[in-house]
Amino acid sequence: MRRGVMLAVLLAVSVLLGGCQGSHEPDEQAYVMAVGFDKASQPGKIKVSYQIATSGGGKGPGGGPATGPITNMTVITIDNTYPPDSRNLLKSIVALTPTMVHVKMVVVGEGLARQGIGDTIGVIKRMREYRGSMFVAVCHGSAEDFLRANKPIFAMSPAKYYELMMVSARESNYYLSSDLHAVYTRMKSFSSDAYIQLVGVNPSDLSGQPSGTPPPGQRSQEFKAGEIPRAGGNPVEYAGTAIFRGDKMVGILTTEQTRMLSLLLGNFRGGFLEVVDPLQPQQTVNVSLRLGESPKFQAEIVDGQAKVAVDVLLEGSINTIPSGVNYESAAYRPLLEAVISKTVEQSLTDTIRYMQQVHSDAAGFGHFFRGKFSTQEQLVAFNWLQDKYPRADISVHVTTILRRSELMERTAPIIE
Amino acid sequence: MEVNSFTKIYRSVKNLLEYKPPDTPSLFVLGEEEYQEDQSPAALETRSLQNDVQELGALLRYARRLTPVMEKAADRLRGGGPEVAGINEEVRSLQKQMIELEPILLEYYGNDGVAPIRPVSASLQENTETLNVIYGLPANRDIVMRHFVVAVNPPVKAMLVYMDGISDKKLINRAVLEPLMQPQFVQHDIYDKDMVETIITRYLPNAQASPARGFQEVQGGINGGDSVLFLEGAPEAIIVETKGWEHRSVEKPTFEQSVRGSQEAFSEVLRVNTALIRSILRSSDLVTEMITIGSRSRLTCAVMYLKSVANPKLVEELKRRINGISTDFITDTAILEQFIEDAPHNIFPVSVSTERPDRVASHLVEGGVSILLDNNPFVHLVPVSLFTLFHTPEDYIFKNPYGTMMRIMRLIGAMLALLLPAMFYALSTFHPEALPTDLLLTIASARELVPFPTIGEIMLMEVSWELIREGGLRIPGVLGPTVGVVGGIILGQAAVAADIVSPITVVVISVTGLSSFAIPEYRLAVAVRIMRFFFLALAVAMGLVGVGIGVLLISVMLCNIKSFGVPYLTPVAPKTMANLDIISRGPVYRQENRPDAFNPQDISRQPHISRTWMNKKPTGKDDK
Amino acid sequence: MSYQTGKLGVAAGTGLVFVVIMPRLFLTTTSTLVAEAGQAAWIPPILAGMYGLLMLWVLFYVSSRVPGDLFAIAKTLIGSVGAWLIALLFIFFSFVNAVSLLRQLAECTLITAMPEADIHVVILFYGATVAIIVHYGIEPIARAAYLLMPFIVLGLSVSIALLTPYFDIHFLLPWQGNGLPAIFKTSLVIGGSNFEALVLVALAPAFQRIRTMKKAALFGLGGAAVIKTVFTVAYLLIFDVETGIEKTLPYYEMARLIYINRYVQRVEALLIVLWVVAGLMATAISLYIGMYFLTRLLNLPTMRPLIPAVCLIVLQLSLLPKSLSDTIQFDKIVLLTGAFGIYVLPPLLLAATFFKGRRAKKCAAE
Repeated sequence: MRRGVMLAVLLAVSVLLGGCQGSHEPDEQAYVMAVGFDKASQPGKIKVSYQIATSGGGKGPGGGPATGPITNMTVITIDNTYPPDSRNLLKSIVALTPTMVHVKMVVVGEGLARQGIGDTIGVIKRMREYRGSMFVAVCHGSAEDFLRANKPIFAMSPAKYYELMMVSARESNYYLSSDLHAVYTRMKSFSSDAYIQLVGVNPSDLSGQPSGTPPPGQRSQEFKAGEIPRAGGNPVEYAGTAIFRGDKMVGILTTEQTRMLSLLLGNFRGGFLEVVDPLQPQQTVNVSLRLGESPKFQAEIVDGQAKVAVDVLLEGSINTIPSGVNYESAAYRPLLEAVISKTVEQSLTDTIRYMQQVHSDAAGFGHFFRGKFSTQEQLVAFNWLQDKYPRADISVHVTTILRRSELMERTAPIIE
Repeated sequence: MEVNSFTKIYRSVKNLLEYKPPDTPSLFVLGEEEYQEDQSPAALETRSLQNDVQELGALLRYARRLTPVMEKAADRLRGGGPEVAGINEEVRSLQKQMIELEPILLEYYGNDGVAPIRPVSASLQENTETLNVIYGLPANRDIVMRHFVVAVNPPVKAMLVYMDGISDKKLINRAVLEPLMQPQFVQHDIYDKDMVETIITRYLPNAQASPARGFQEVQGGINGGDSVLFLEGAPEAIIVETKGWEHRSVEKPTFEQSVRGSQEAFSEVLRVNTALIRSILRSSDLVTEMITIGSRSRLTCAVMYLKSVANPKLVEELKRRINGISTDFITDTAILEQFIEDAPHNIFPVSVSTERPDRVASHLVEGGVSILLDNNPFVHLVPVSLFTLFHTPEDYIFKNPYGTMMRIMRLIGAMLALLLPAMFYALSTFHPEALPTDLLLTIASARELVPFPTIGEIMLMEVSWELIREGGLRIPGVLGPTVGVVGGIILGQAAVAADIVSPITVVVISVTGLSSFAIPEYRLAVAVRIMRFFFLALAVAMGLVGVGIGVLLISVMLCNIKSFGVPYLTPVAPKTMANLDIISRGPVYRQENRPDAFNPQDISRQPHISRTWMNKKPTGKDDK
Repeated sequence: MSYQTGKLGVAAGTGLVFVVIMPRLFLTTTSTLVAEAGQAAWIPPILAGMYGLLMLWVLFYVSSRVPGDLFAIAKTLIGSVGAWLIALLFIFFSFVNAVSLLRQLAECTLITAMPEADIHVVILFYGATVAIIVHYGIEPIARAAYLLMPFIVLGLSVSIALLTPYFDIHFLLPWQGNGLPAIFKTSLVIGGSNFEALVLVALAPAFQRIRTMKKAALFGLGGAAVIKTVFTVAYLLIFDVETGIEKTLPYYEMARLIYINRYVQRVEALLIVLWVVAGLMATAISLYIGMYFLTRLLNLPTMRPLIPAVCLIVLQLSLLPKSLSDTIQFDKIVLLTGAFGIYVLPPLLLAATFFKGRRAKKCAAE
């Protein structure tokens, strides 16, 4: 009995003497919400920006319990350093211990992305505090500007802002939510390449210009992040995708091209498309489309050349018909469907060509060739990414079925 | 010396000026008494002299009793006549008394030290002497000795001894004094054979009466509330059952209230309790065995079980253990249980303590055994598994889904009461990544102005909660609501507004405290409350890993506990046949088996089709 | 003998076997598996499970012919010297298994849950816990293991189910991975982690009959093999081979990825508890087996006084390797010993049974 008590006391003492074992009070840590990496002024180094949540302190109104608004944040930038080092330098700047466990977003500046993210994104995943479910973004500009310009219009904590922004990407599919795990895995894979969403800072003075040439049937304009002609709201915007070859950024997809990418990835949940009215070419028809089923891929190797045939089924509903033509009826609907199919096909083909041109298999066509081999060695020997993909023959076929027409079944004309 | 004015003045001045310390009584110190018997030769001699004095006293008293009889006999013989017969009885009684005056018996039973084990003497005077020694009369005013004469010709002197307060005087009057003192009620035939037996079988209209040969039984009777009748000339006494004292009546249960169910609870009298159980289980198989425990208190402990169902080995082991207790006083069934359980230092209870008879009855039917103790309204049911401790009778009264839901809620309550403070501490300090960011930022900003570390806050609130709970037990009824409100305000509002604790800690501790009351068995709730601090200590040391280690250790410990031969976590570990009554409550018509772990003699209690009415057609016309 | 084992049933035996071979799943073994077998890394666990079951069945047959626990069987069949050698093998494997597991557990706790803690304190805590658990005896340990089993399965299933958004079926192709010879070789080596399943025969007198042991082996070893396979499949589906070979802690990485919405994310702290508990139980069972054989070997009357000494020695030994990668290398040696044990021992005893057993009658109840 006494030995047991002595043992228990020894154990307790050893634990108490051993220190806190790494426990921190919640108010003794600085919670970093977002991290940005940019090219530093010196070559080979990184400029790191930290966005820290600075809530707390002061009494609430009416002498109630002390809570500060949790929407406060501040950005601190450290130049000419490396990611882990900058964390220690950050400690010299802020009073509380910084911790990365709540980082929601990792932003990479375009310059650094084009130079190669393998040194930054590729290596931080080893550290315990960076996790695969963090979102990654490439900023069309510099990451520091992005973090500083970020002023959400809703009174929400920065964490909520980032997460809701990412989760709601599927609403329009003009940008894709990419997390660190997907980027990392695709970067190191033999059969696909990484894609990261594009963000940018908009001057907010209606001065944006569209980019890229949309296919003939499409009237929706295509934009890149930071170039949407608008005024007001949070200066940062999310639009487009950056595609990579290995760890270097090699191209930018516009909004519509991003949609095509999401179509190929099979997670196109919906979005509006403005197409030309087949019977009244000066006017447009707006439809909202979604994938009817996952696209079907048929991969073949013919004479050493890879051939892929993609079959896409789109379902849609008609949103507006300014011309008043009765596209809801069985007589005219096929016309509209044909226009949509042709437009989307053209857009898909253009996107795929572009990606092949920059040698980036962001859509992951290589996956469908994995089944053709029996061992890993053969797959590696196939050399998909460098050799076969740029030369691959990829054909697309799109079928559209318009199922609904929202609330109106026909349009009565406006009496002049 | 002459007292004149000068002396008076001198004395008064002296009184005025002289300092006399105040007259305090000397302090009473309970020093150590020498309880050793003095073994010096002088003391031994005194003691042996005292023994001789006792023996001589007995002989002398006998002589004094003998003398008048002999004189009377001489008178009668001289006068001659039929009255010689009257002396017969006295002579007979004197003869019987003479047997007791054998030197060896006098030597053995003669001194005061062995008064309690003396046999009943044929002489009332000797018996009175013995009773004086045993009970410390006449200082002890509780014992009443009622001398009377039995109305028979020739009359028999009798003495009724009972303890005032625990004997029912009405019953004494009606069942003992009245029949024996009524003239001509008692016939002469008491002199024919054994007087005691005749009186018992014919002239005592009482429900229970038995003869007693020695003062052990007499004491047991008097101390228990019975009356003892001594007769002159009979070397036996009669113990008449006249128990009756003021006790609480059968009331509603205080701790195990139910919304819809029987509202009776046990009271303090053993016989009332056994009666309540018998009124529910009207079976001839229900056996009540009585065991007396405690050398000074002599309380009766009753063990009740169904003979055809309960495992006989269990009953035997239980009785063996209860019989093997050697102590002087056991007040409560829980104390009794701590004497007989396997591992009393283990804080988990190995029996269910209940004050409802219906719960006892259902446990008995399942093959368990119940332990009742005199003067105790709580009955213990053994053997028990951990899951049984979460059952209440209401689970059966309400229908199936509600019963199951309530049991799950109780289990959740137990988990919360055990782990919530530890988990809160571990998550907020060791693993802040597991909390949602907004919650964490709120906690952090709420803690900005609080001067204590998180563990300090938690301990402060825990201690306050325990103080309030413990103090609430002893608040006089008038002050109860006031103190409750003040306590709530202090804990809830003022402490938070004064930035002594943060609001989240208040919420956590309140939820913890309240959920510990969801556990039906109070001793289990106490165990859970103690374990809570153990988990908190582990969480402070090692975070969630510490909590995991704690859970592991508690699981292994629980698997090790046996409740009177039944492992504590039956039927999960070891895996036995489970009836539909562990966590979820199966339908009443599917409860076909008794718990397997009890190994009862008859495992099946209901046939497979217990709703036989479903097999037959209903009365009335069929639907066309 | 006061180290009596008590009575164990099917459930307790299943729990025992399941928990004692489970922890390697949560440690680096899966990464090693993927590195060696590639996309077909899910095949070796199933094969290893089948080998293990086969060897166990052989041993059950031997146990049905010869009475007593493994030590007594060995003594009857191979003589004292052989029995000594077998006991020494068991003691060696159990202790080094416990050492390796303890060190890996502590290191992984430091990496994942408490990066700033001191390893000595963590090891001390774990060692004290293991000592307390072993002190209770095998019966409560087996029952607690049975109690723990559904939680392990539930935790794994829930975490795999919550990760379905990350699955990509193409990561399992090409299905032969690094080639059939590599698959076969890996399965043989991985079989070493099933060596502890022989605890069933080592504690044979505690079980009522051979059928109990057979059921326990089937559910325990078979279940564990199935779970390991499912886990490896899920691991491959989430991480491709190239990423998969990098991870020190496959399960922790998987748990870290869980992200359903704003509220269900970063839940790996709750799942750390799962593998810590499973690892500690496995260490305790391992130590118990080692000490059981030690007491049988040296004919000691009881086991309890040995516990503090053995635990202290094991704690000190576990602090010997210099780094985690050294420990992983050491673990490979442990697995090889186990493989040797499980592939050599049962056929040896079977041969001895046929040799000597013609005279022995069937003794244990079927």
